[in-house]
Amino acid sequence: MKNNPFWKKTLEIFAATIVIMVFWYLLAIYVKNNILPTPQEAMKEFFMIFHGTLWEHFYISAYRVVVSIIAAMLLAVPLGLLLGREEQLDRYIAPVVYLVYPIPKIVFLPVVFLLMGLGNLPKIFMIGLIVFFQILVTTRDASKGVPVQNIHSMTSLGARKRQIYYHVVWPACLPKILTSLRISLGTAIAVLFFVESFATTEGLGYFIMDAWSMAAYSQMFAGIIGMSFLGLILYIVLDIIEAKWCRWQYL
Amino acid sequence: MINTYELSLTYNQAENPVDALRDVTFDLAEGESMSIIGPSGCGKSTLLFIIAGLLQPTSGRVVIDGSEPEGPGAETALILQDYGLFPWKTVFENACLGLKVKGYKRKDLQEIVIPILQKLGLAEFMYSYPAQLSGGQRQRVAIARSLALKPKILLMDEPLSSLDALTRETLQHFILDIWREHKLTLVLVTHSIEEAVFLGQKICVMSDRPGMIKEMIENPMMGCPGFRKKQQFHEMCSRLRSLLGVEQQ
Ligand SMILES: Nc1ncnc2c1ncn2[C@@H]1O[C@H](COP(=O)(O)OP(=O)(O)OP(=O)(O)O)[C@@H](O)[C@H]1O
Ligand SMILES: [Mg+2]
Repeated sequence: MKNNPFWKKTLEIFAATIVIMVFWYLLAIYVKNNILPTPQEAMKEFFMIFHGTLWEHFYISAYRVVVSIIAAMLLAVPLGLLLGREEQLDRYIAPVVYLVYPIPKIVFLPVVFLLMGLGNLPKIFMIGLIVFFQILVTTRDASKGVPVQNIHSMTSLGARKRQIYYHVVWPACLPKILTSLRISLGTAIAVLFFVESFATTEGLGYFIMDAWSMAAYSQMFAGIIGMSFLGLILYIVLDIIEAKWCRWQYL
Repeated sequence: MINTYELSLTYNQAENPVDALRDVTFDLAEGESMSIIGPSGCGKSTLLFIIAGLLQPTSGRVVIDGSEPEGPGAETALILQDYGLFPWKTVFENACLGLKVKGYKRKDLQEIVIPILQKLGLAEFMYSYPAQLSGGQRQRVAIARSLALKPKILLMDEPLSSLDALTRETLQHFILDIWREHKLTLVLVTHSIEEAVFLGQKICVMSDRPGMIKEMIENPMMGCPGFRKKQQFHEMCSRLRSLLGVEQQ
């Protein structure tokens, strides 16, 4: 059990949680203001309201983040792999990416809300759009960096293009793609909070803002804990995928 | 059988085109072996890639068994120095790759590949990843992958250059055995004078860039028992050494 990576990880997360709690506690004592409740109060509130109200907000937020990341990934990964290898295509598309990537796309939120209404779609679209470019750029660079010798050795075996992508380009880029997903996850949750704080009555972002407006600070922190859990769970999922698919990286 | 006629190749880079090969002409009979040696950057890899069908020459032609190949042929297998194996595939998957690409079924893969791995002493590492093998074992996997394709022509680009001297010698004997047993036509690029003499019935000495054939040496004693210890071996090595201009330095 000592060497089991699963237990090791669990233990690490547990220890880190305690460290954070201690700091939080000390800060709360120091600030002495009910805008910053102690971790005990916040946790108590969290477990009290999770089954009642918080759960639904958690669920809808998780849904928005997961769908947008998956959609962005399904589009960005194949396109990125192609752009990295097909110079002709890259020559046309790279300048566009170059121009669009640095634009803070969140500024289009009003337009997106106007065009797509106030449902889930504009929120998913907004998160997906931002995350799409992060994944695209990383994947493209990774794909460009696949050593030409790797490609040669595959070609010399008589492989066709599709097979080269399947056996070489995709597995070679997978670790970097997972890293880009990890980075995107942080971005996605930040954007989630932002898009959920307007014109909606569902989601953790709304829950936190609503609690704030009512000065229900324990409740607000319960929402914050919920959001942290959401990030943590998705992070762990990515870790599991990496351990399964990229075992060769850790030998 | 490999015939090349006045092969030339210029890499057309944007700024300065590089003349990598010029007028390379040689014939290699079926079952013969040839080693290629020459200064770094003289176009040895380029020549090998052209024979493998990975690069098209700027002018001249390659004829393999009477016809000009279009793209990588089924008869030809290429082994590269470092990047041939894929770290994300196990030894077995790596060894199967050539067959898999050609559409073989899973059952056939095992039937063909497992005996080869056994013979190369890799059976117990079937499910290991390349990172878990020694350099010599890795090269043997690369050889296994090529042999699985039952090639007639085996092209090797400095296959042993990253190995220590002992492993290197062992694998040279190993390549010699495989060459004999499978009656391969072998072309081997190397930086090592001893290796060139040990494994080449012909030794193609190339000049500095643009790569031309400086001299084609016949090496009839190659492969005879105990060659490495014989007088002729050392004479051949010193001849190569002076041809390559090593002594002066
Ligand atoms: N893709 C390429 N584009 C442009 N120039 C290249 C390319 N590949 C090789 N060259 C140039 O062509 C020349 C021959 O290269 P090649 O790789 O065939 O040399 P080599 O004899 O195999 O060298 P080494 O012994 O160091 O492996 C070199 O000068 C190199 O700079
Ligand atoms: Mg070379």
